[in-house]
Amino acid sequence: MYYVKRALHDKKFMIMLCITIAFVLLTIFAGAIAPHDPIAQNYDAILQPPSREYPFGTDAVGRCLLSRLLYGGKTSLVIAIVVTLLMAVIGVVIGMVSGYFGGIVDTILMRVTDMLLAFPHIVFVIAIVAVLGTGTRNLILAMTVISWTMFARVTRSLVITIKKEDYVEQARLSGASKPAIMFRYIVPNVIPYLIVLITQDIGSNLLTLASLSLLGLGSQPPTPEWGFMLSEGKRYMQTAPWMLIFPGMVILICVIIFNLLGDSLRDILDPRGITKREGTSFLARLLSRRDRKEKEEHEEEMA
Amino acid sequence: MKKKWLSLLLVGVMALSVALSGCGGSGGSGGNGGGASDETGAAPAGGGEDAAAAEDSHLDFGIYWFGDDLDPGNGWNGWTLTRAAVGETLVTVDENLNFVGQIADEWSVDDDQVTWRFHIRDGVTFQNGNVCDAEAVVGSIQRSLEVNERGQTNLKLASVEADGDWVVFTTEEPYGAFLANLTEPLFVIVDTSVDTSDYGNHPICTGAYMVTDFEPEVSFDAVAYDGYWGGTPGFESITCYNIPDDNSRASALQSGELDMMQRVAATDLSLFEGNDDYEVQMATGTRVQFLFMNTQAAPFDDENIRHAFNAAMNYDAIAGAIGGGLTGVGSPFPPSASFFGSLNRDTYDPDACAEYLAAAGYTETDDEGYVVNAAGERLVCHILMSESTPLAEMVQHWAKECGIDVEITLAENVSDTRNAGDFELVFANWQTLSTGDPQWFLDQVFKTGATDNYSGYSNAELDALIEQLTTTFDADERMNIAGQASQIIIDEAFGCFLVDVTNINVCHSNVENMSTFPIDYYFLTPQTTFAQ
Repeated sequence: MYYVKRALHDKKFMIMLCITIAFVLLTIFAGAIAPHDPIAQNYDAILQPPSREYPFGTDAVGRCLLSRLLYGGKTSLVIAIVVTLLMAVIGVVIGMVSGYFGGIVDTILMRVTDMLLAFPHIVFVIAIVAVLGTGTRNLILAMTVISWTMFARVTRSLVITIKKEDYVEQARLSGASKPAIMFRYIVPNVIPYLIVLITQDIGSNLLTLASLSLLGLGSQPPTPEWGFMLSEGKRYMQTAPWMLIFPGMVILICVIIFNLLGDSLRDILDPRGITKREGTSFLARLLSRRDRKEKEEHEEEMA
Repeated sequence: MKKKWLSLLLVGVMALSVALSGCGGSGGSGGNGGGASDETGAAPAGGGEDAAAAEDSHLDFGIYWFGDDLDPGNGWNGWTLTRAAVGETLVTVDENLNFVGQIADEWSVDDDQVTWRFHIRDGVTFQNGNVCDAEAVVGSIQRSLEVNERGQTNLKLASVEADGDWVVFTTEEPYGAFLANLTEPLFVIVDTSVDTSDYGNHPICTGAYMVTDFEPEVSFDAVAYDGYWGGTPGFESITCYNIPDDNSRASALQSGELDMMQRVAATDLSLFEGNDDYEVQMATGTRVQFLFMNTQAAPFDDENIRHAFNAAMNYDAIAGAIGGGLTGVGSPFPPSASFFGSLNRDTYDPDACAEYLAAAGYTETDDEGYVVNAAGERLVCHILMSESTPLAEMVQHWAKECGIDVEITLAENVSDTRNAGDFELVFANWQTLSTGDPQWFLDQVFKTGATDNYSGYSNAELDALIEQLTTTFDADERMNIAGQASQIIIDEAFGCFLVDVTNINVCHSNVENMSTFPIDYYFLTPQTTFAQ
């Protein structure tokens, strides 16, 4: 309730939220809004510049770009959101286990994470898609397999930090079971940070997806998809620039919106709302906290 | 406060300049890495300003393909040499698809139909000054046969020897395509009396320009050969750039980094057409873009389905939508083939398509307009390709109009899957009248069991006609036979032949005598020059 109240009073957040919801609604109701069928080819209207009938112009086979962008949002957004949620779930579970149990479990899981982090993401995804074949399912799989590492890392460090808080110690001393401690005391304290990360990651996943589609590894034609539309447009860069400009702009706007939303969410969910005004970033704070803890640990050991 | 605004402004200016320089770079880099941009970056000094270029007479031109080196015996690399007027063959093919002498000025075939005689032109010398006589030609031909297995396939040669000023070829059997195949740039004549090990970088040929410096994948420089038999070449020196990406090549021409370029994408044609600064030339090409249909597997093992598919394609609408002067063909040979007009070609006919589909058992349509058979199954075909193209989406569209569901399957390695026969439809873009003669294409693609007959086509009558071509020497008669063979291919629906390929070349208007050939491995000629 506290967060909701804070959110309702945060103007920036409310604006961002409204824009995001509007964006999502636009793609959900693409069928009702789109002026044309996104895959219907019209040979009398090939490569038309933006006009009253085709507000964003048409492509090489006379399809309405506005309609394709609206429908394409479904594909792009759904994939980006699904991938983000999947990798968040996998990453959080692994991070929790690793951070809470520590020891050999932690070592093994973190070395696997290190290994995956050592690969350039996009190259790894291309390799997976090349082996499994293209298509939405394989794309989601490939992107998820490689990208959960970041969540695992962050969750682990959060858990390690929280694990040593006094209230957790108290709970442990009062005889709370391990699962109880995890779910009642640790998870609620980790979630706010993760929500911020998830929101911001949707944006970066949208970009990854667009790059993959641009390389021809994304969705199968004629299904509209933003990155794929860019790839179609690139050979008309000079003669029909609207084929590049509009999909590019939509991707840009979408990514910015999700990033700003994540940003304002952070302001709200940050339990010590003052940090922002102090100009310390989430990550910096996280790191300094970890450093402090590690320093303490180190001192303890020395003692 | 003032300071803050000033710094913001500064940042803005910096960002803008970075963005702008980024654009400039992408225009010139030619899409093939840093090396290319270095090269093209230096080019404008010679080719950018028209006045300066005319004085020192240096031509910068772009083509869309390089092999891995410049040795004509290696792969298809000889094609680069004929494109740049560096290499010459005994006989060549002109703008009207006629054979004309190059190193040979006269030739004939004996009555035994296996002995071919070529008289070597007087005064032809190699670019190192050595005389190119009959002996030298024999050496070069033998080298081509030794280093490239395509050599013997193309010539079916039993022996080649020098007889005074004449080179005498004897083929294993009468072979009507011999003369045409001898024009293939694999048989560019090189000097074999010297060390040939560096021919990948510095081939020694007989053409108007001799290569001085080769940078793989990027460019090569050449200078005019003073002793050229055909007179003084039009430029003192040339640089030939390899720019595979159509957009980058067009931008390089626009920015003045190139004076002349081969192949403009139909989509970019509007940039140059009707503009006095450029000259655009078009020629009906010898290529056809078509779909291999796998006759060994469902659904295209059913002739009715093949016919239905071909009748569903709106050839003219597709050609018109791609633009650039393309025509819909519906025949394995393009309009540049003399028999094209007499063929009963595939045409767009939705009614006929429906009849063929009904004959194949697809009588009903479902909610989405796709045809279904008695079991309620749709007719689904898959096009295997590495990257979707507008052409593929048009095929998909027209098939759907007639109720055929075409899915585009994207795959990394199309050729292996295709060669293994594991496909339904695969796009191809072939030189069907390569060397101006139809036999090579028929031999490679349609003969039972041929190397590139991925689709498993087999027809005894067609095989017999192709065999007959082998022993036919009269050019008109050969075309006549090829016409009959084409008709069988159309009647049996061995593939879906969509559109031809127009060769479009562009130069700045200060370039004179640019040539555009139907065969795209010819481009620069010794006559091309700057306007005085």
